[in-house]
Amino acid sequence: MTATGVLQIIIVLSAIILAAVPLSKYMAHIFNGETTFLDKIINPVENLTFKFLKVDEKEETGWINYLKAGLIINFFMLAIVFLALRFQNYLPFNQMHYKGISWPLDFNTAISFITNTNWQNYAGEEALSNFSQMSLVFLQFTSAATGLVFLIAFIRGLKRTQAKNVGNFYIDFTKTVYRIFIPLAVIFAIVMLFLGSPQTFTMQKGVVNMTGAKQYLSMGPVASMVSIENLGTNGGGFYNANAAQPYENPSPFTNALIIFMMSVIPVAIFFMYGIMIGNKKHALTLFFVALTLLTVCIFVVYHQEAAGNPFIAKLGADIKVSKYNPGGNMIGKEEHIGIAQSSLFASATTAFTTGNVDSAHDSYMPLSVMVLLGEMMLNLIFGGKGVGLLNMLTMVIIGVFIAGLMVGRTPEFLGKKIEAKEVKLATLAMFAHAFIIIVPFAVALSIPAGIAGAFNPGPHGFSEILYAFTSTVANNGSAMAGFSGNTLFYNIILGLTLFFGRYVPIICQVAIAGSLIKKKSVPESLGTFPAHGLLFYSVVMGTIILIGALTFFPALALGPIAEHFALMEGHLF
Amino acid sequence: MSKQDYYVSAFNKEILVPAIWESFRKLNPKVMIKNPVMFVVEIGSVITAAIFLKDVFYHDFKDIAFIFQITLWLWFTVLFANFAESISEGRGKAQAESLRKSKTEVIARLIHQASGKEEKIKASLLRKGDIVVAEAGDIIPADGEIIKGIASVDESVITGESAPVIRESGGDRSAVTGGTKVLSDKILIKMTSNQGEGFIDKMISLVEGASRQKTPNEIALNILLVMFTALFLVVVAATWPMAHYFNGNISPVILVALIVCLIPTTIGALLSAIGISGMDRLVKHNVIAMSGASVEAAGDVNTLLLDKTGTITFGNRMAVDFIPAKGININELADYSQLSSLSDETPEGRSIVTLAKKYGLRGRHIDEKNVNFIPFSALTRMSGVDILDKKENIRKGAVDSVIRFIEQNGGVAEKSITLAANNISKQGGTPLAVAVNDKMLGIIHLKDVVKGGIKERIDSLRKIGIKTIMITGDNALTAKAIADEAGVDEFVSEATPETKMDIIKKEQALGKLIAMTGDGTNDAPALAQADVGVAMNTGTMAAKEAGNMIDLDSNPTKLIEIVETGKQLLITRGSLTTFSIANDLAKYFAIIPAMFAPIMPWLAPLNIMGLSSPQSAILSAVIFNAVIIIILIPLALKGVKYRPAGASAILRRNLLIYGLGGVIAPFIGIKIIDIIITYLHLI
Repeated sequence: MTATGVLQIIIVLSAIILAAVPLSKYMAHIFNGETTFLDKIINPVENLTFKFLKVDEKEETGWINYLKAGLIINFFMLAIVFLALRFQNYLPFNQMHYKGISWPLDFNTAISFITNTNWQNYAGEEALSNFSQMSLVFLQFTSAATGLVFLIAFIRGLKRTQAKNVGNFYIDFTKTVYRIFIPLAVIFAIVMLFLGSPQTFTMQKGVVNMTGAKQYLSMGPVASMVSIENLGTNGGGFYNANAAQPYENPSPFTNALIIFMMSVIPVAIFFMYGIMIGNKKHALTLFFVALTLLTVCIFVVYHQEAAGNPFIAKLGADIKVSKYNPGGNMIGKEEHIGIAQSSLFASATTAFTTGNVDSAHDSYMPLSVMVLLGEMMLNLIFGGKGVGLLNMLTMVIIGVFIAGLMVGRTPEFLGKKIEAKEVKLATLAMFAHAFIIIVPFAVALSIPAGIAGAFNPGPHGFSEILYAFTSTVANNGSAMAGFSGNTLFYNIILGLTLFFGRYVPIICQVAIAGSLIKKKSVPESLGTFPAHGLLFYSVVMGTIILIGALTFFPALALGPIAEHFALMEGHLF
Repeated sequence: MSKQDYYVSAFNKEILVPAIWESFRKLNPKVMIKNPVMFVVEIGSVITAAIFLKDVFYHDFKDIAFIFQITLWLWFTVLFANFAESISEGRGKAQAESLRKSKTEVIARLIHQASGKEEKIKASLLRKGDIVVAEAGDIIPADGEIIKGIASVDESVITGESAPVIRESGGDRSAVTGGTKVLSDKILIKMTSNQGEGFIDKMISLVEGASRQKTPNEIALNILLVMFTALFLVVVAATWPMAHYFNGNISPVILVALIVCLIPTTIGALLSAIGISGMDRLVKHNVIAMSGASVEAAGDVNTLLLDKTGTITFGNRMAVDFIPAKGININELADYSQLSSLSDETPEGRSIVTLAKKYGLRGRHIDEKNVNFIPFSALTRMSGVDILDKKENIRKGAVDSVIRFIEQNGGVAEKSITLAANNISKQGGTPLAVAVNDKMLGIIHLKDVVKGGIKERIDSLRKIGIKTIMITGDNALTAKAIADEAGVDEFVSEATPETKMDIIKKEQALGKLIAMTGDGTNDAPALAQADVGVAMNTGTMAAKEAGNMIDLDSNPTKLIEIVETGKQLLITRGSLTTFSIANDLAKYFAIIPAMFAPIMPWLAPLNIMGLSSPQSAILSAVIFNAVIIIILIPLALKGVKYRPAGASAILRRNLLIYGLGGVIAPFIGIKIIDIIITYLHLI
């Protein structure tokens, strides 16, 4: 590790946190129905939309109808995009006359984008028309909004007492897209444009390169996609190589900017939660839980990568840091991005469930891979839009239930009693997440079509397959690489893990909101244990780490941990 | 005062021996399935036992010692769990037995309603609504209400209190309990419950655990445990294809061992024992709860509604001070005060005599021919004594009445007297003036005395976040003085019976849980409305039916113990759950490197405990898992230590002991067991 490397990491993290503060206030204003400075511009457009959709702005519904509305809209968009991909050769903006790829891949891709995952079993620049790319961009807006909107319902469930209605899905959804994602996406698209990303409808451009040979450059509306793919923690890039491709990520500065874009809203969501719930200390405690986990992950990865591979060093490679040598493990990393920024990027993309990558995770040190897997397995280190905090609150409910009993009262969380129903739903969400990773993974390990996916033998290949399932269920979308996902088996099974990994926990969580909203609020006293401070921090942290470790330890032991110890003894896979 | 003790120690032969047999009887799958966690262990035990038998019959002796010992310890795990439950049930039964002894078959004297004739029948044949007669020496055959007469009744079988109590028809003291004995007079009793449904019967079935229903928190905890069990089943089952990927094979015995070690067996085994012994602890305090849910609710209580009289104060005003008038010696005042109170048998009167003794005045005899006692009357608001030979007319009573008395005799009351009287009233006391003929002697300060120790208890309640509200019919001045002295958080003065109901509803609307005590029929609606309503055993039938607990000692301060018992119950469950789950970490470090050793030898560094061999590592974890249940049985029965403190302090302490301790303890325990196993060459 170098001082500049550490400094880079600290600067980026600080910028994110600082920017998240005003953003969180703006977001809280929106969902509390208060006025914001953009009202003059957006109100007329919004009212027109509501009029067109015949939505009454004052009408609110209970959790079931809220959830139904969200799911129906999601499935409807899923169907539309699937058809758009399937029949892209009949649709405009297809200069290269690409045909629909294959139905299993289109199925996988459409689900992948509606679930905010953006797992890509295809190379965008070689398979999709600009229309298809833009239809995916459409989902990058709506899928991010969906997650956030369900969180809003949950927050209202905590906040409102003896009520029934959690809000109006259509209103919340429209506001999220119009007032948060579109304005930010426009700004950052323009910024990316100026920093070197192309934005054009031309799909390929022939140029004569330095050797005199003719070369075709793939391009399209890249800047706009880079903007929303990161702001919405989607991660699905225009190009196969994602942020390792210079049009998506032209410079070390854009690299930092991309990290900023993917992190700022999830961090702001934690602060917004504090404002909306009227308990900033509580939200800040959860923020510190996430920040601690993130920081530890970043520095473990950075330390591992900077230390490099001892095996290669033994073979005589120079992995020491010097003026001309970045040192460490540079395999699969871009020279201009370097180790510190790549480590930060990899940790951030798995924490914030973005899935965009600027380096090959396959070539990371085994313990780094373990950390990246761990971040996705927990799926709550800030996490994706809304769902990250939802997952953390699910763990909070489990932790508060057990710890609350130890205080000698029926456990309460922010004044709401945690009873059989909440425990059932929260543990079900926890169980579903683990089940949907582990069981399909075990199936894949047991059949030839599954084993065929990994490029490498031994624990490394094991990790490659594990990574695919973890990434899809966590709706992350990053690929470890070294894995061929575009097979009938993987397109289908990963399509299903994507789908259930997304919606099962969300359904449980919105149902918790529906149960909490009906309850009275028990006033806080000396007898209730406070939902903030060091003690609460320890309870939440302990619950997360213990449940996470107990669930995934065997798989991690056989994958990255075994590979690590093997490497120490000189075995490579 | 001799307390009847129904509390039986769990660790005596009469309970231990049957509990061992009971543990085997509970192996019946139909019984086991009620406890899903332990049911999974039982299935695992059957599987390993089958594998053991297969190996025996196929002469496969390679791992036979290992498989045998794993199987043995898995069965022990199940048996230990059953034992924990049996022992708590056994103690409940023993307590029920000691209660039942108080309930011998009684002959009832039934009065035929039509003819009015008396017939002797067995008490067990009595029905609700029957009328019986009971005279001195008779045992009251069943719970009922006196419809005619008054009697003194010995209720020591239930309360342990030897002093007889008065029971009479009408009013708040009309209820009698089956099994108690009439000491004097004759009463007619109308039966209010069928045989077998009386309070003693309810109490017996509750402590026996027969009518035990799972409480809301227990249900929620059970769901959590089942979900964790399901999670670990999936996690462990998946290790088989994982090993297969590396062309390895894991023995089903090891898989079963891992499952059993990971699922929350510790809490699963002890959960019902904790619940049953929680009820037992209430019985120890001579309180019967009508359901486990009400015990839990007691732990949640935010507000205690306390009657001033009887709970906070003794209920009788007592003389605490003499304030002489100008020119009067305090001894003189004390002397005349005592004289005036000699025939006054009220508690106030007696307290004056007692206070006067402090001034060196012994009890004395007066020649009765020489004196004329003037009893208290509501009209004069005075009492006193006329000493004929000395021509002294002594009066004691309300200040204005006594002033009028001396003025009639030509005397004048000084201003200082009214000032002193007002002063006492302001402090919440009652002033009594004492005069002889035309001379005002001074004032006796009567005061409602707060029970000793009550302030400390209210302080400790405040520490755990419970608000106390005192209710009294007194005026605001008096109420405030007592409230200040007792340290209650709020008080309501000039309360009517409806006031309680209003306060309860108001607090409940704020989301709070309320506990109260009551004994009168007019308390019944409030007792029913309160989340925890403790009826006094001396109270009316209506009050007892409305409440969800009954205090056999009729001691309203008991509320505090009830709250603590409720809290302790929840704390014990939470702590053992935390301990159980925290234990898993160490077990992973024991078993994972061991079970993957053949296929992934590189994982050896994970064996941080340095266990001697893969087989001994797995066996040690399984043994630890079983033994910890036995070790924790006393804790489950006794409950985790509870000290009144704020939630944060309690949580910090329990998190350290059961959370952090739960992570560390098994590392040490498993290592020790491994050393023993290796030393004894068991593997």
